[in-house]
Amino acid sequence: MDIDHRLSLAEVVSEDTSVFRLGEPISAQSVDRAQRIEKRWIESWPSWLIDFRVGFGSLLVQYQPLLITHRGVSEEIYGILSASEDQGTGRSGDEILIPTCYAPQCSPDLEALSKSLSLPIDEIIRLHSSQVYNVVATGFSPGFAYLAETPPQIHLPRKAVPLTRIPPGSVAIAENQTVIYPKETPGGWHLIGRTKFELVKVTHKGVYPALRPGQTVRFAPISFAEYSQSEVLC
Amino acid sequence: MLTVIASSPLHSIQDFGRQGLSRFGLASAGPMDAHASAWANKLLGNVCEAPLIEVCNGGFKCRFEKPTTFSVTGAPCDIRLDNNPIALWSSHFADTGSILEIGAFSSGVFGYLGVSGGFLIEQRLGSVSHSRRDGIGGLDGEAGPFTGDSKIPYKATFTKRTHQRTPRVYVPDYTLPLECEVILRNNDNSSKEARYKFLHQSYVVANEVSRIGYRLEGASIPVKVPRYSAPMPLGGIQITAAGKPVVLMRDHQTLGGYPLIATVTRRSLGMLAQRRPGQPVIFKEVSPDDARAQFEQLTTFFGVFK
Repeated sequence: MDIDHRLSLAEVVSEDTSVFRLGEPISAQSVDRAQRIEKRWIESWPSWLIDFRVGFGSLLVQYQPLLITHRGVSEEIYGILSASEDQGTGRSGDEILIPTCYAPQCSPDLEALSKSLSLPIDEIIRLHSSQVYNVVATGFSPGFAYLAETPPQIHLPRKAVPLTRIPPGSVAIAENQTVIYPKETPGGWHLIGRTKFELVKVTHKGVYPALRPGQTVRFAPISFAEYSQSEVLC
Repeated sequence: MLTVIASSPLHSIQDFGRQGLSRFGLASAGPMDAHASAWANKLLGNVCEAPLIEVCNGGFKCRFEKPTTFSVTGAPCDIRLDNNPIALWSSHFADTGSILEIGAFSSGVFGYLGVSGGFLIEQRLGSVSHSRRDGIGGLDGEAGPFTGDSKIPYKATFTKRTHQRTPRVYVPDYTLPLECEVILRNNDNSSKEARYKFLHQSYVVANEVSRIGYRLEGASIPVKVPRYSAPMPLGGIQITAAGKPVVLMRDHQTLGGYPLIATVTRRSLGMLAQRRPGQPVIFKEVSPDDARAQFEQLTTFFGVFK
């Protein structure tokens, strides 16, 4: 992709904020590109940079408009990207195992899902827990991670009417993704399990999410007894 | 030091927010009305991002424990210093033991109380801003509310008895219908019909308003909800599956699943924050260049603006 074409895909969204396309919404290439930009900016935070966040192939940059223009930011980004080749993997670290209880007490939506997907409950659990997922985006709230892709047999849209309170640690699915809710929040995903895996630590020194883009994750089924006895795990 | 006598859980400490950590999902927080909060600091000769108290819906009472120069800006209300009415959008001085009361607001939603030199509170991750959503910042560092006898420290920099006042022309009237300036997206997927409806109807502020977002009521706009979420800007206007706008305010989520149709300019965002449920709002398109010129003016005028 040449730079002019890339610039044409960039958008000015506010006085000090622009959004840039890095690639497809779910691709190792997008994650890899985002990681190269993040690495560079964390190593040496540019004076014009206020903040940035990434998700699903888009990079949002908030900058000091008195110090740099939208075009200037574009050039910085594509300078970083053209300085090195795409690694293509976008992966980092070991596979993270998330002990998850799929028992009825922990999975309020499994029975309804079993009907709408025409699959036995055990098969939904087997499909969900046999897949290795990539962390494709983080954000929404601290510790929240989007994992992809779920097997096609369990794809379905979000609920028409979202729940106002989802218990923390809920494991949920919608579309081709699965997520874990770190905190009690509203949400429209289908709840199929629960975990005590600790998703984030916010301390005086920083924010430490357990899951970062590029990592891989697998859900390990545990019994309700094991779930009940388990402490917060990390 | 200032001692809180009466307060509500909606009152908080704010500076210009916690930037640089949104990639972890952390909200920036910061003042809902940056214009009024910057003026509160400017009247005192403070840097315009100095920590101050954001008073939502009035009902704040405190005692100054040392001679203090302070200022109050934002929503109009009955303000009394030792039971004598004093002017809003002005700086004042208080003696040791003086009592300040910020009464119910006659219009608007947010008022700002600043002190000379700013409040001295330990930063959490680069800011003192109170974020209830993330449980960080504020007086105790964990987004706890002020209690009946909270003590809020500051340095006594009381010097000379001169009043500073915001020129009338800069004092907004929050009772007026809001013409809310927006930057439309240049390559978004929303239809022409959606944009037309968005710009040519009158909305009212809905009952669901918070530091996270303001919902608006109006005729439904046709949108397609995308499969994937995307990073969202401050002031971004998402159209929900029901076709209604939600404007993302200072504690907004960093990624969102509903499509983004436009973004409110930073100047208009503070004016929107001051509108109450039921007040009318229309959206008016401005070019990104004009919005940026306006924003640069604000930044130059206040020294810092976010």
